[in-house]
Amino acid sequence: MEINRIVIRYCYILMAFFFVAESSAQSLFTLGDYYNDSSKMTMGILAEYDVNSTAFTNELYYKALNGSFIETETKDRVNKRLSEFNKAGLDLNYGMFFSQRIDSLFGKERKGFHYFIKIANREHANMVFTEDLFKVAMYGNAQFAGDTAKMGSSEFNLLRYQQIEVGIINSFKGSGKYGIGLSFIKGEQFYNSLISRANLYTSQSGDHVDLDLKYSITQSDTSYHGYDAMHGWGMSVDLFYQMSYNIFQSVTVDEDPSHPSASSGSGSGQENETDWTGYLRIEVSDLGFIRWNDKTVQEKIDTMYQFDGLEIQNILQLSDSIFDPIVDSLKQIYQPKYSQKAYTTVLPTLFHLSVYQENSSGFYISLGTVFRIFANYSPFIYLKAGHTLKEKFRLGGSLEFGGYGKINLGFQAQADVGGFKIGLGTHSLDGFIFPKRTGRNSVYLSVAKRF
Amino acid sequence: MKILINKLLLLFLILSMLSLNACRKGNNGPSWDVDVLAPILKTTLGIENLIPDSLIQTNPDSSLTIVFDNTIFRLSLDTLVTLPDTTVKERFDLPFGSFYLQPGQGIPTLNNITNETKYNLKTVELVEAKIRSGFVSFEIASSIGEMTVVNFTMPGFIKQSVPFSVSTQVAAGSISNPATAYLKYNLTGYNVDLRGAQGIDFNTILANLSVIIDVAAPDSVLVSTGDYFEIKYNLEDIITDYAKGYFGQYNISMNQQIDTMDFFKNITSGFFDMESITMQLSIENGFGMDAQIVIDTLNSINSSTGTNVLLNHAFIGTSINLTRASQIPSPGYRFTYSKYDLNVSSSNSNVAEFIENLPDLLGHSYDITINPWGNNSNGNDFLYYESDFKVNLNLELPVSFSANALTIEDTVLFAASPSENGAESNINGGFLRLYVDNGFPYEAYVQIYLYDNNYNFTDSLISNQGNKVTAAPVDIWLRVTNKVLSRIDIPLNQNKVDNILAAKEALIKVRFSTIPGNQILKIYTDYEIDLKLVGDFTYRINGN
Repeated sequence: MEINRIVIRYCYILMAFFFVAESSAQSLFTLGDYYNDSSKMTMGILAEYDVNSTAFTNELYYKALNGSFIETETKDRVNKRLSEFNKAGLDLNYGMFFSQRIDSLFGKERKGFHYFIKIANREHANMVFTEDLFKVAMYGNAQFAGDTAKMGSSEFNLLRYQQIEVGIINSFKGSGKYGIGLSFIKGEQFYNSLISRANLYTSQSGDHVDLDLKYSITQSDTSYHGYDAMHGWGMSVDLFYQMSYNIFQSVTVDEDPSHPSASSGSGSGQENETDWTGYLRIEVSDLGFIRWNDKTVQEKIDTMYQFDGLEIQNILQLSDSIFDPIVDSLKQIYQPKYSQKAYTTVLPTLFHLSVYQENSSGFYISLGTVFRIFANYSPFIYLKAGHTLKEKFRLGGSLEFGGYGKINLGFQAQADVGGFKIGLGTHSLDGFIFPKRTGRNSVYLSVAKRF
Repeated sequence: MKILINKLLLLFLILSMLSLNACRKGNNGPSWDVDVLAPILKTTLGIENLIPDSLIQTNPDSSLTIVFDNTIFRLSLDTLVTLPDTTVKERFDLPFGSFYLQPGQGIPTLNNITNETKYNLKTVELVEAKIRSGFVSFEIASSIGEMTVVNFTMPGFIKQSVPFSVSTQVAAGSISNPATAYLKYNLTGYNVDLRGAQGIDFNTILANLSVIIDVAAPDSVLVSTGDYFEIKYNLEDIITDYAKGYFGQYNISMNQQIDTMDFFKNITSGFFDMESITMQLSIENGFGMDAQIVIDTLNSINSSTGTNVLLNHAFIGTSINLTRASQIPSPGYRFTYSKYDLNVSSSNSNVAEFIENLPDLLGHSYDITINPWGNNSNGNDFLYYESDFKVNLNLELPVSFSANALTIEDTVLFAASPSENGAESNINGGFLRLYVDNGFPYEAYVQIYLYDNNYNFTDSLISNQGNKVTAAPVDIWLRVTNKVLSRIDIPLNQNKVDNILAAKEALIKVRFSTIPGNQILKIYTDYEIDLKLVGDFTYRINGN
C-alpha cells in the first residue's frame, strides 16, 4: 500500500517535472490519430522530422546544414560520444488525411466505424558506423599510423517514397479500438551502402597503406529523382489494437485518521478506489515492401589492396601522361562488379507497445517501447506525462531512451480551438538547449479539423 | 525542409565514406580538416636510370663501365657525288610551206637522232653508275594532224641485260589544239654506262629518239606552216647506288664541330677522380679512293664552368693517310672499310684532364684531302650509297671514382597541373616526406628549385638543413653492405602548394661526395636508390 503511494507520488513528481502529454505514439503517422471519436469527419495535416544519433551532435547537424567549417572541437565532442558501433537515423514525414464515421459496413449496421484516407511523403535514412570510420572520415588516417582502422561493419540506408493509405478504425466499449490500413507505395529513391569489411592499415611512416575492403552499394534508378519519379512500387500495412487497461484500478489510498469518517469505518485502513482509466495498445506500422525496378544498380567489391605509391619509371619525366596510366590502373583495381536488376526492400517496420493512463483531473502518464526492424534501430523506451488545462490546452513532456540515440527530453503543446486541434512538439528539447552535447533534433506538427 | 533534409543526408553520406554516387542535389556542404598520411610516389633509381642503357657495359665482376661509342664526324656520298636533274629538249618546226607524211614516215629532224648529254661534275669523272632511285619523264606536245609514235631508248641504261626503251603513241593534234602527253618511268636498279657513244668518255648519257607517223594511220597527213612536234625528256631525282670513275683531287676543311656529351651534361661543379680512362679514335674510309686527314683540334668543353681543355696527343695536327676501301664485302656492307685507330691514354696524352673537365660538349675540326696523290687508281675509284668517311670516338670510363661535392643538375618539365576538382589547393599544411633508401656509397644533398613559365625562380622545396641523404656503408672490399634510409622533409603550406602547381620546370640539384672521402669506389649493377614520397598533411574536405 505504502509502496503504491510512493509510486504514485513519484509519478506525479515526474509529471510535474516533464509536464504532461497525451501523445502515446512515437510518430504522428499512426492510425489512432486519423479520426476523432466524437466527430463525423476529420481532416488534418501532419508533418514531422526527427534526426537522432548516438554519436553526432546537434552542433554537427547545424554546421552541416549551414555548410560551415567543422572545427576540431566540434569533432572532439562527437568523438567523446562514440562507442565501437554508432547509430544515426533520420525521418521526414508529411502528409494529410481524411476520416469519416460510418454507420454500416458491408450492408450491416455497425457502430463505431471510421474509414480514413491518407497521402504522405515518407523519407527515412539510417546508418550504423564504427568509431574508426568516423575517425578516419573526420580526422584522417594519420592517427592510425602503425595501426589498423576497422571501418566495417558500417551501413547507410535511404528510402524515399510516397504512399496513399486507406483503412478502417473501429471503436468498441471503453477505450477499446482496432484499426487496419493498407497502403500503395510509389518508390522514389533507394540507396544502400554496406561496408562489410574495411580494414585500413597505415604503416608507421605512411609509406604504405593496406585496405581490406568488402562493400556493396545498391541504389535505385539514378537517372532522375523527385516526386514524379517512380522507380518502384510496394504495399504496406498498418495495424493496431487497443484495449482498456487500468493499471491503477486497484490502487487505494488511506483516509486521514483525523477525518471524521475515519472513526466510523471498519478501521484505520479504509481504502477508496482512484479514478484512473487507460488502455494498452499494440501497434505495427509500415509492414511492407517496395519492389524497385530493373534499373536498380548494384556495385560490389571484395578486394585486398596494398598501396605503396604510384610507381614512376623515370622520376625525371613526371608528367600527366605518366600518371594517367597509373591512375587508370588504380581505377581498374577498384572497378566494382556492376549488376542491374530488380530489387526488393523491406520497409523499416515499427512495433509499438504502450500503456496509457489518465485520471479525471487531467493528468496523463504513458509508458511505451518501440522496436523497429530492418532499420539499425535499438530498442526504444519512453515515459511520457501530461496535463490537460481547461480541457482545451495540454502540455506534456517525455523522457526517452534508445532508438538512434541516447537519453532525450521531449515537449509537446496541444490546443483545441474553434474546431481545430493543433499539436506542436519535439522529442529533443534538450537538443535545442544543449546542442553540443545532444544528438537528437526533431519537430512535429499536426493540425486537424473536426466536422 | 527538403533542403534541410538533403543536407543532413549529405552529412550521412560523407561519413559513410562509400557514398560515391551521392543522391544529393547541389548545395554548399560542410568542410573539415583531416590529417592524411599516405604514400604518393615511389621509384627506384639504379645507374641505368642516371646513364642510358646504351652507354653502360657490365664487367665480369658486375662493376660498370660507361662506354661512349659515337661517330663524331661523317662525310657521306652526297658530299662527293650528286647527279643533278637534267633536261634535254628536241623540237621540229615547219616555219613555211607544207608537205605530206605517209604512215610510218619519220618527222623531219626527229627521226633516228642520237643525243649525248654530259653531266658537269667538276673534277669527278664517272664512267659507271647504278641508280638507287630516280626517274625519266617525257613532256610531249604535237600539232601533227595524225597519231604519231615516239621511240626512245637509252642504250647505256641496262637492267637485267635489257636497255631502257620506251615506245608511246601521241594523239593527233592541231596548231590551235596540240596533243600533249606526260610520261614518267622509274629508273631504279638500272646500271648506267657513262662513257658515251665511243666508250671513252665520262659523265655522258646516250639517248636515241625517233618520232614517226603511226603506221596504222589511214592516210597520209599534211604538215603545213606552223606545225611542230616537241619532246622534252628529264632525268630527275637520281640517287646513285654505286659509282665508279675518278673522283678528283680536292680538299675539305671542316671547321670546329660541336657534339654533346650527354652523360656529363648535368654535372655542373665539383671534382671527381676516375680510376682509369681509355679513349680510342677510329677513322674509317668507306670510299674507294685514297684520303688524308688532319685532326686539327679535339677539345673538351665544360659549358657550365667555361673550361676548355685541348687534347694533347701526337696525332693532333699530323697528316694521317687512309688507304682506299676495298670492294670485298664485309658484314653489313658491300665493301670493306679502311681503318686507322688512334689510342689515347693517360700515358700518351692529357686524356685524364680532358675527361675530368666533365665536358658536356666536344669540339673537333679537320682537314681532309681526297685523292691526295691524284688519279693513281686509273679511274677505278668507287663508292656505294652507304659509303662514308667517319671518325668514331670510343670512350671507356669505369664507373669507379671518388667525388667531392660533385653537383649534378637537371631540369625537368614539371606537370603538376591542378586536378579538375582543384583538390591540391585544399592542402592546408604539413609535409611531403621523401624517404631515400640509399644503396650508393655516396652521401648527397638534394634541393629542388621551382621555376615558372619564364624560367623565373619561384620557390625551393627543401630546407637546406634537412636535405642530406646518408651514404651506404662499404665493407673492406669497398662494396656496399646495406642501404641506409634517410628522410627529407618538404614542408607544405598553401603558398608552397600554389607555387608547386604554378611551376613549369623544376631544377633538381644533387651534390655528391664519396664516403669515405677521396676513396675511389666502384659502382656495381645492383646499386640502387629507393625513393618514396609520402604525404603527411592536413587536407580540407569540402562536402560540395
